Amino acid sequence: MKSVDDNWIGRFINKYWKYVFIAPMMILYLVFFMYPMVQGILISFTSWDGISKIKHFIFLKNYINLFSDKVFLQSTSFTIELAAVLISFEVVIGVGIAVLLERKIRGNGFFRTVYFFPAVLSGITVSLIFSQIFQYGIPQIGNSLNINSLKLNPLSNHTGAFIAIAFVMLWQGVALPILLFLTGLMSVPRDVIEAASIDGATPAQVFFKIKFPYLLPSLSLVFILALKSGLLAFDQIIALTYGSLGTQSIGLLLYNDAINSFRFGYANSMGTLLFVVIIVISIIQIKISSKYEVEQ
Amino acid sequence: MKNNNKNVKINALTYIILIIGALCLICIPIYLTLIGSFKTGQDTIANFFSFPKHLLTQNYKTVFSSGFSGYFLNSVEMTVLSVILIVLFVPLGSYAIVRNKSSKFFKVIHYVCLLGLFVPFQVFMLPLTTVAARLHAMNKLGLIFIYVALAVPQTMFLYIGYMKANLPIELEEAAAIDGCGKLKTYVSVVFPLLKPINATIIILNALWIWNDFLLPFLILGGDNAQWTIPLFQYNYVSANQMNYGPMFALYIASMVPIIIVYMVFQRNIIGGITAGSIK
Repeated sequence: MKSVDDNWIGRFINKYWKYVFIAPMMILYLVFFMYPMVQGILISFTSWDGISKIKHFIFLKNYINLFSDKVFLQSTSFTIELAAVLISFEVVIGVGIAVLLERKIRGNGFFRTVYFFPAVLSGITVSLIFSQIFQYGIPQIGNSLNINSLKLNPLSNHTGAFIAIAFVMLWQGVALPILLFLTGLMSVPRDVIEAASIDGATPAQVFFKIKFPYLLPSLSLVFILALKSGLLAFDQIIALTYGSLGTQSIGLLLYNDAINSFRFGYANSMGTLLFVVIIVISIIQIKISSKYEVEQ
Repeated sequence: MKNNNKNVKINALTYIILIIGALCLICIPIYLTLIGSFKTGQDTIANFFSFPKHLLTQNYKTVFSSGFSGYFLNSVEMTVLSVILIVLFVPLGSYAIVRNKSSKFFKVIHYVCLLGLFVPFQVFMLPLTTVAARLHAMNKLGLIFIYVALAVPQTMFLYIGYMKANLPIELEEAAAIDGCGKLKTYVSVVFPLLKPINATIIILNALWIWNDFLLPFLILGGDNAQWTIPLFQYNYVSANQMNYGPMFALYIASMVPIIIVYMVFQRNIIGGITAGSIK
């Protein structure tokens, strides 16, 4: 022991240990996270193309242009619609399956494993698989059952593509909400439910009056997770449509604008706008969920 | 008696819904991929749902001869090295923050790290590529450092939460009295106590890095010797538009490792991800 602490390295570490301990993590974090983030925000006030040496400061012009840019507005409305669909279905399907999995039936551990499985797969693999199912599988079902709406590849018109993207994102996206709602349901004290059913409460009353409040913390968490996955959607869209058919999410538009259209500053103003939106929503969510915790 | 009968009915209904959901929605896409991987591309297009007439293994040979093992090793290397660095660096820094709560400097650092929780990747992904290019970090090693940096906010948040609740300062004081230096105390007293949270951290980060597409796409896109599996998949499919047989074989080959890991560690994985998102 003594030999280690006595040499100069040991003495140095003991004296400045807090800085030595924090340095590796902070150096990487500052270089590859904070510095690019600050730069991204600063670049959003310039007309930089991503290549040239000079950056022209144009103040809020990028932001003003955003609000009259048809492509951006279309992409925003698509992204918001997608987020809204993800939020509502993740909540409804999540609560529904969680209620079923909470029942004491044989094999519910097995079902839990199966239902969570999609969450461990890569979004790219899943989207590529589904893009082939949409292209050849769906039309074959439509033709053999003679259902007109299924005879075409869903990825050939806007509505079909929207449903297809939302479906693939939900296929993976409901796994975590199911578990979160299940955790909420399991935290309901058993004796309260028993007392209620002895007093003659119907299962529906038990669910809405007793269990539901325990779901609220998970609800606000699922809301924010689904919203973020919708606002930042990238992998599924690049693999399914590459943003064609009016399905260009903001995340993909931003990439295309910077890399393919050389509008680096402009693209960064979209990113910064997303940042502001997510900060505001996160603060609201934290406020709301801390209120629940006090009430419980 | 009547009540019992009703219960049986509800249970039966529960089973039916759960089985339909599990089989139709989750297992059938995987099953279709599996049978597709043993058929020729033309056969898949003509009879998407039919079982293969002969079990064709040519597709798998094609996939492996286009360098799958190399991309697999890249993915393993990226994931393992990034996770090792995360588990080495982040708890060390979190420990310094937890034990210096009164210092203004460490308070600021703590807040700066927490800020990262709210920053969407798209805000800084473009400048990040510029920074990486300037530092000659558009390669596997650079990407590993980037993963560690991106993992800091959530990982540190989880470590600090755990340390505040489970790390009695008395143990460290006892070690100090015994003559242990700070590093020795950390390695032999503090770190072993972090075992449960380390498992959560490893699972969360390994799964994210293994499956991540966008970062390798931005950082490694130009050099195909360094591609990871998701990036290889994307590029393979773009380059071989009509080659459905090998494509399906590639999907299966990329899913097999994760299915094995999931079957072995499912309890830890499910628990770890739930714990990571609740806190």
